[in-house]
Amino acid sequence: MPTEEYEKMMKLFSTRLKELMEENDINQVELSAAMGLSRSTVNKWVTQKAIPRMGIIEKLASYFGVPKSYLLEQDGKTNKRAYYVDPETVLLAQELKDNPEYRALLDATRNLKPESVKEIMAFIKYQKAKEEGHID
Amino acid sequence: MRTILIDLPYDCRGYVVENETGDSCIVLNARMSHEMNVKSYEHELRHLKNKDFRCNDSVDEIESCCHKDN
Repeated sequence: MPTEEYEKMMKLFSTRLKELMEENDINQVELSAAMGLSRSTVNKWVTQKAIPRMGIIEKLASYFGVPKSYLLEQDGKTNKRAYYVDPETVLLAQELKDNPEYRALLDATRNLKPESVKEIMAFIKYQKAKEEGHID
Repeated sequence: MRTILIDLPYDCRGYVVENETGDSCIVLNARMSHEMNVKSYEHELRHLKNKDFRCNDSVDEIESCCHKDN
C-alpha cells in the first residue's frame, strides 16, 4: 500500500506533468510516442496511479527542458526553465556574480562543469591581484 | 570596452567582469572562432545593457532569459 508521502509525490508529479503537457500542447498519445512507452503507462502517470522510474523522469525533464526537481519537488517550481544542468555549477555561477571578489557573469553552455567555473574564479582572482599590483 | 582574449575551458565562451568602480571588462575564449567570439561579446554586452549585475534574479534565471533572447 502506497505511503502518504508517495501519494503526495504522485499527485505533484501528475500535476506538473499535466501542466507541461498543456503548455507544450502535447497529448498523452504524443508523449507516449516521444518516450517510447505505451499510452496506458502515460495515463497512469496523469491519473496519479504511478510514478515512472528515475531514468524516465530524467528523460521527461530533458524532453520538456526542465530540471528533475520541477517534476518531483514542491518548491521545484522555482527552478523551472533553469539554465545550468549541474546544481553545483548553479551555486558557483551565483557566487561568481554575488561575491565582490569576482563580480562576473558568464556566457557558457548549459552543461558547464563546476571545475570550469572554479578555473574562471581562480583566473579572475589572479587578474585582479595583478591589476592591484600584488603580482608582477 | 576593455576586451581580452584568453584560453578558457571549452564549455565557457566568455564572461564579463565588473570592478568596484563599475568599469567592466569582457573576457573572450581564445579557443573559440571569431564568429563565436562576436556572439559571446554581444551576449556580455546584453548583460551590461540589462544591468544584470544589479538584478536580484538568480543567475540561472538571468542566463535562461539571456539565452532565450539570443
